Formats: sequence, structure tokens, C-alpha cells
Amino acid sequence: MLISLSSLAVSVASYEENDNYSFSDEPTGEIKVVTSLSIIADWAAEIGEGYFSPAAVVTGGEDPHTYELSPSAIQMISASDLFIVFGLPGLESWIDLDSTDYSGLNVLYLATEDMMKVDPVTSDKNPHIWMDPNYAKIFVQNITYEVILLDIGHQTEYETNRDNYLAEIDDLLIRIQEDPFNQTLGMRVVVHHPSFLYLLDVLGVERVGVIEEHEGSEPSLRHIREIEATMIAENISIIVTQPQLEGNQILNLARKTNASLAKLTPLLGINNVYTYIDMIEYNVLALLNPEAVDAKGWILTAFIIGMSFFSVTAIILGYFRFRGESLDKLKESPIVKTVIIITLIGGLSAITVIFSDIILLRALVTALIIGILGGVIGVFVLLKGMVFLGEAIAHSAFAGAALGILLGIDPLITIIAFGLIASLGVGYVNEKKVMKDEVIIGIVFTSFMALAILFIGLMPFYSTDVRSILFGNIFLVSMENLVILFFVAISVILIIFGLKKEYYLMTFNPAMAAVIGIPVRFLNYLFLALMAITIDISLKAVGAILVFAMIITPAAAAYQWTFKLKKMLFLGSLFGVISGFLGVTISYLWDIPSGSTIVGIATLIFVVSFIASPKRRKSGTGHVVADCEYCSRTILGKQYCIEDNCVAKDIPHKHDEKGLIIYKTDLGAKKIPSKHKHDNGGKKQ
Amino acid sequence: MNSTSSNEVLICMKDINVVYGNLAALYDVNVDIHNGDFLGICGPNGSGKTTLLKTIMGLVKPLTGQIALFGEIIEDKIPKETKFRFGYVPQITDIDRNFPALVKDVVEMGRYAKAGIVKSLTNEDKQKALNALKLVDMDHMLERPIGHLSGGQQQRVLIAQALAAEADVLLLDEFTSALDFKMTEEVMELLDYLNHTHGITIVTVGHNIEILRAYCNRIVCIDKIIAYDGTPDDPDLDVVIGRIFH
Repeated sequence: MLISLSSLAVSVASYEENDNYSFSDEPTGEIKVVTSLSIIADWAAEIGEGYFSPAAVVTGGEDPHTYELSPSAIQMISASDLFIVFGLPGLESWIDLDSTDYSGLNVLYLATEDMMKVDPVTSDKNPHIWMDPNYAKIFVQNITYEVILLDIGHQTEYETNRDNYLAEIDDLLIRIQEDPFNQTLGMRVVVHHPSFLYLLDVLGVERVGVIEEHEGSEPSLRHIREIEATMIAENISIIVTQPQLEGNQILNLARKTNASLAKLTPLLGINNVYTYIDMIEYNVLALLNPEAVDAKGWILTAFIIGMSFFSVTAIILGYFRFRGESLDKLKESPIVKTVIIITLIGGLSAITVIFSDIILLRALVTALIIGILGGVIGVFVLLKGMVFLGEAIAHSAFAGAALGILLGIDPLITIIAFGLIASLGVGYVNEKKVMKDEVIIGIVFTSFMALAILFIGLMPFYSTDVRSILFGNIFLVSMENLVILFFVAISVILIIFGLKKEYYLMTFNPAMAAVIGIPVRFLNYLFLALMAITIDISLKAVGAILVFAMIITPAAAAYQWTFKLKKMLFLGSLFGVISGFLGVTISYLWDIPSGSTIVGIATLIFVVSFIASPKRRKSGTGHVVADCEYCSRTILGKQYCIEDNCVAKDIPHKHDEKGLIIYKTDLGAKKIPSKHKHDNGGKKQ
Repeated sequence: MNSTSSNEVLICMKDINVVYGNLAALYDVNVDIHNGDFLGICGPNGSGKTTLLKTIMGLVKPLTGQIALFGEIIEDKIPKETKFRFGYVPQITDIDRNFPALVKDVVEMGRYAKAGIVKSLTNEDKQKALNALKLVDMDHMLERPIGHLSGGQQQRVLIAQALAAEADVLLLDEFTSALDFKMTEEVMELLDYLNHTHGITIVTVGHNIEILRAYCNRIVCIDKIIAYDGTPDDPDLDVVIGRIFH
């Protein structure tokens, strides 16, 4: 079972205030005692007071989960007389005590795995054992026994220190457990992390739910909604979290359930807590004085109103603009003026909300980038007819993600590797014309899915990371992801625009492109690579299953509106951005899965475009029937074009007395000879 | 447009052998194409006529033999400048009715390679594209979606696309197969006009021997080997046609 300790992540802020600890940087005194974590050092310092001062390898300033041993720390450990660790899985995995560096080292293991309770809520064994002062008492006795073995001369003094400290812990237990004013007994809370199982049990606090069931993995939206429902149903008003772990999810949950946040700490070094006893007391106080979260209710309302007015106005103005009508007349209408003012107010409040919530801001920026990138790539994917290949790449990314998680490396590396293998592989087979594209894509698609399932099966547990790759969550895009996304998007878009005309020609007439010396082969592979990269970096936001929709759907919607490449690129990006923005907003306001919301909006735009498409409208840009008896016939009172080979087909035209076709151009009237026979009046002979 | 003197050999193919796997597509082919030729290459399906065209353009590498283009022997790759002197008109298959390209966009594509990668077209490029479009009498349909044109009109636009790069030699691949008789005739008339009035050398490939005979001034019949090379009205041609087509 993997139990990681990201919940122990600690802010670096207090690291420099090392003086406040009762132990030192280097072990000093009669015996050299080194401990893994600062809490153990605190206990050892109490026992050795006056005779030795222990040192801790990981002080409060570092995260035990990601800690890396420095050479000087290794030296300090191997030079020590006694090295004290908890010895529980996950806690001290940064040190390999079997290594030859530590041969002959005197190690005291305070705890055994049997001591860990199985968390009734998460069904995992919980290693945060030191949070129970009763266990602390056992550990203190163990340490004393070991210290006396090493320094028998001061046995009495150590025993006195121990007894004094045990008395203090007993006092502490009485204060927190038995005081008639103890208000924690019977409290019911939801906890962010499982870190406080032992402490809450001691305090008699009931944990109704755990938000992050497995440490280090993001909770699913469904799980959060379950917690939310439980909190409302059972009237839970406190969420126990840690100061350094405050996130949007917790804040939103607190807002919705009207709960307060109790910020507890499982380690020393935070909020001026430097001893074990202080830490326990601090936690009890924090539990009794949870911080309220401001509701932001009115801003949200303004946000909804603002955004909806904004969208409606944008659609109306866009429609008139598209129809090529002047906007001046509209501006004068008082109704329009009112709408614009409300829109501005709403928009302003919307912006306030956006900038007050970094997570929302990040999601919107992500949506903007992915919208533009997907729209641009999508147009060429659509025109080149590579839709299924893209779909296969998206699924190969899933296998890549699973492998990355299995191997414990950054999934983005394996995702991009798999994406490139899939796209370039299919591209190669396609170039060799060994078999039809669809056959090889079908095989690639399923084999990558098989790999993904295999990798997931090999994992010790079904990681929620896999789920987040499959379904994505635009709100979980980290700053680091966003920076990568930004630079990759800029490069891809620059490359595509730089090679726009080459790709356009290759799409329309690949044979011609090859003949006139365009490096068709290279550009094809380059495009496949760009497409794979686009899909791969967009994964985190919308997930492997839906990511391809961000590429194909806005482009397909844009295709309905125009015959011009430039306009299609613009519209594709615009539709992508609109889907992203609306999707993020809706998902944020009503807490529904972001990936499917974005794709849903994109699909809606496509359906509307498809129905409203001028390309499909019968009276649209199809045949413009000439006012000419030779070229048209009347059926049931309506004129239809019958001369399909007419030079002036589709152009409103007449014939002059010589039979010349006259039609209007931007430069005025133009005459061309008709290929058909006409009499003097332009009438059919 | 035409800087070479009349009757000069533009394309010289000597002892060309092309194989695909264990199949010989062209066997010992020797063809010279002269400046001003209106050449029709015909042969039944699978006779190697498209291969011949591709070999000229450097898309297929011959196993043995030598090709000289515009007086220069081609060793490995065809130089870029030489490539621009070819205007290639591929066989059109269905163009999507809604494909986002206007007639002028399609013709401008002919200038893309000349403009170079990354760079956009200059006004001069656009003007030359427009001139090419005028040449094929399609300039009144500048703003029309290419997919909305009839097959014959699309073929004209594609010819303009090839001409836009100021090509000396037009190479047309099987355009007749997608068109009905009347449209084919129209396109052939256009080619004839380009050949006569503008001195553009035309090489057209097709299996409709009758239409080629009616317009071309030289016919090459091919069936892996060159079966006939001469004028369209030679009675020998009838014999050859009888042999290789039946």
C-alpha cells in the first residue's frame, strides 16, 4: 500500500526561525542523537535537557514526502550515536537504512505497522500516529530507555526529565480531554486530509467525511459532491484542513455548505508552533475557533447576470456584424443602451470575481489558449481528413498517462512520447500505403487502450490521477501546466501560421504541392507531431476522452459559415474560446464536470451552426437564378436555374441585344460572350 | 512566358526503366518533348502513362536511364527553378462542395512555392494569379467557392493554378475521365488556345484516344514500351491503337 505524505507538506516560511526549536542543527552533548522528524527531536530534547541536544533531519520547513537527503545530513546520521525514526511506511522513505552508508548505525524504530489504525473512512492504514499524545508517551519512554543504554551515567537525570515530560503530556491530555469545558467532544467535522485521525479520536471528534481519501491525489468532483451532500444532510459546519493546503475546492465547499475552516497542523514549524505540546494545544484551539469563509454570494449573482448579458449582447452584435449590417442604428436605441450598461456592470463584477479567484482565472486563461490552439489545428485536421487519427492519438495519450503514473514520472513526458509514436507511426504506414488508414488507426486505437488498461492493472491501486487524465478538470490545471501550455501553444500556432499556405495547398491539392517542390513529406510529419502535441497538452483540461472535441467540433462549426480559410481559422478559434469560457463559467457556478460542459457547449455551437449554415440554406449561396429566359425556367411560380454549364451560372445576369452576358462586378458592369445562342433580346432561340 | 526557341528539346528521356517491385512499369522508354508540342500520351489502364508523367516530374525515380530537363541532366533532385517551369494539373476527384477555398485562393496556391515558405504572397503574386485566371477566362468567378463550379470550370481553375507559377510546360493527368464530352472539348479548346497563342508546351495524359487525336499535334501511345510516337493522323496509329487497346 502506498501511503504518501503530501499532507505533511509544510510551508517554508518558518524554516529560518530554527532558534525557536528546543533542539539544534547539529547534535551536541553527552550523546549524539539525530532524529528523522522534528517532533521526535522535540521529545528527545525534553529527555536530554541539560545533557544533550538532538538534531532533526527534516525540520518543519521541509516536506518529508519530497525530502532529499543532503550529503551533510547523511554524514550527520552516520556519525550519530542514536538515530531515531518512526519507521512507518511513507514517512521516512527518503532514507534507506539498509544502505552501506549506515552500517553499524544504532537505529531506534519508535513505531511498528501494527500500531497504525485502519482509518474507518478511507480503509487505509494511517501513519499519523504521533498525533495521539498517548502514543507520544510510549515513544518518550522508548527514547528514554534507549538513551539510558547509551549513557547509563545519567540514568537518574534522564528518568527525571522523562517523568516531568510525561506529566506534562498527562496534563495536556487532561486539558484537552477531560476539562469540563471541553467543547470538542461530540463535534462532527469533515476533514481535508486523513492526517488528524488520531488526534480527533482522542478529542472525541467524529469525522463524517474525508475529502482527500488517498493522500497526494486530487479528490474527484463526485466525491466532493457526496461530501457536500453529507455536510448539508448532517448539518456539518466545520472542515478541518491545513494552513498550507487551502484550495479552491475547499473554499467552494465551505461556501456552499456555510462551513468554517479549522486549520490544524500535523508538524512543527507552522504558525509559531515549535513543540509537540504547543502543537496539540494549537490544534485544539484551531478546532474550537474555525475561520469563517466569506460567502461571495452577491458577486456570484452579479457574475451570472453579467456573463449572461454579456453573451447575449455579444451574440446579437455578432449576428448583425455577420449580416454586414450597420451597428449605428442599434446604438441609438434606448433598450440597447440599457443592455450595454447592465452588461458593463455585470462584466465588471465578473472580472472582479475572476481576478479574486486565481483558480477561475487560471481555468479561463487555459480555456482561452486551448480554444485558440484547438481551433487553429482543428481547421487543418478537418480539411486534411485526419479526424480518426486525432482520436487515436487522444487514446494513446491515455496509455501514456497510465505508464507515467505507473513509473512515477511526469505523465506529460510519456503522454507526448506515446502521442508522437501513435501519430508518426500511423503517418508512416499511411505514407507507405500498406493498408487503409482506418484499419491501422483502428488497430492503434485499440492497442493503446489495451496498454492503458494493462498499465492501470499493474498499479497497486486505481489512482485518481488516471481518472483525472481520462476526464480532465480545467480547474486543476496548475500554474506550471499553464506555462507549458502557453509556450507550446505559441510555438504551435506560430508554426501553423508560418506554414499556413503550404498546408492549405497540401489540403486542397497534395499532388500539386509535391510537384512544385513543397516538402510535403516533412510537413505532413510535422503536422502530425503538432497535432499530437496539441492533443497531449490539452489533456489535463478536458481529459483524454473529450480532448479531441476541442479540436474537431469548433472547426467543424466554423466550416459551416465560410468559404475562406482565414475566416474559418478565426471562427474555429472563436468557437473554441467561447465553448471554453462558457464551459468554465457554468462548471464553476454549478460545479458540474468541466470537460463535458465545455464539449457540450462546443457541440451546441456546432449544431446551431449546422442548422443555420448559409452553405445549407437553399436560398443562400447556391444558384442565383439569372433573370434570363434561356438560363432559367419557372416551376410553380419560382425561377430555377437550368443551364448548368452557363459561364455566368450563379451570377445574377441579363443578356444584351447581342446575346452578351451582362453582370455586375465590384468595378461596374462587365460583358462576356455567352456560349449559348441567344436572340437579340437575350431570349432563347 | 516562353524564353526558349522553337523546336528545342525541353524534356529528354533516355532509356528509362521504371519498376514497382517485380513489375516493370516503363521499359526502355525514349521520349523527347519539344518546345511548343501539344503532346497526348495515351494508353490503356495500367500502361504506365501516369508513371511516365511522374517520372518527368521527379516523383518516381527510374531504375535506369537518364532524364534531361530544359537541357540539364537531372542527377538527383530536380532544381527548384526547374520545378517552377512545370505546371502540373492533377486528376480532379470530387472537390467537396463546401471546401473553404474561393477560385482566387485556388489560383494563388500556384504561387505558393515561388513565394517561399513562411512568406505571404505579394501583390505581384496576386496579380500574376489573376492574369493566369484571365488566361483561362475564369476571372469573372474570382469570389466563387471552388466547390460550386462545374467540373469543366474547376479544371480551368486548376489549369490557371498551374499557369500561375508562369510555367512553360503544362502536364495534365487524366483530366478527361472526370468530365463529360462537352466539357472535355471545352478544356481541350482552352489548351489548344494556350498552346497556339501563348506557346505553352502541353503534355496531356488520357485514355480517350479520340479526343487527344482531335486536338494534339503529336501522340505517344504507351503500353510499358513506347508503341507509337508520331502525328495524330498517321494510319499506323490506328494499327497501334487496335493492338494495344483491344
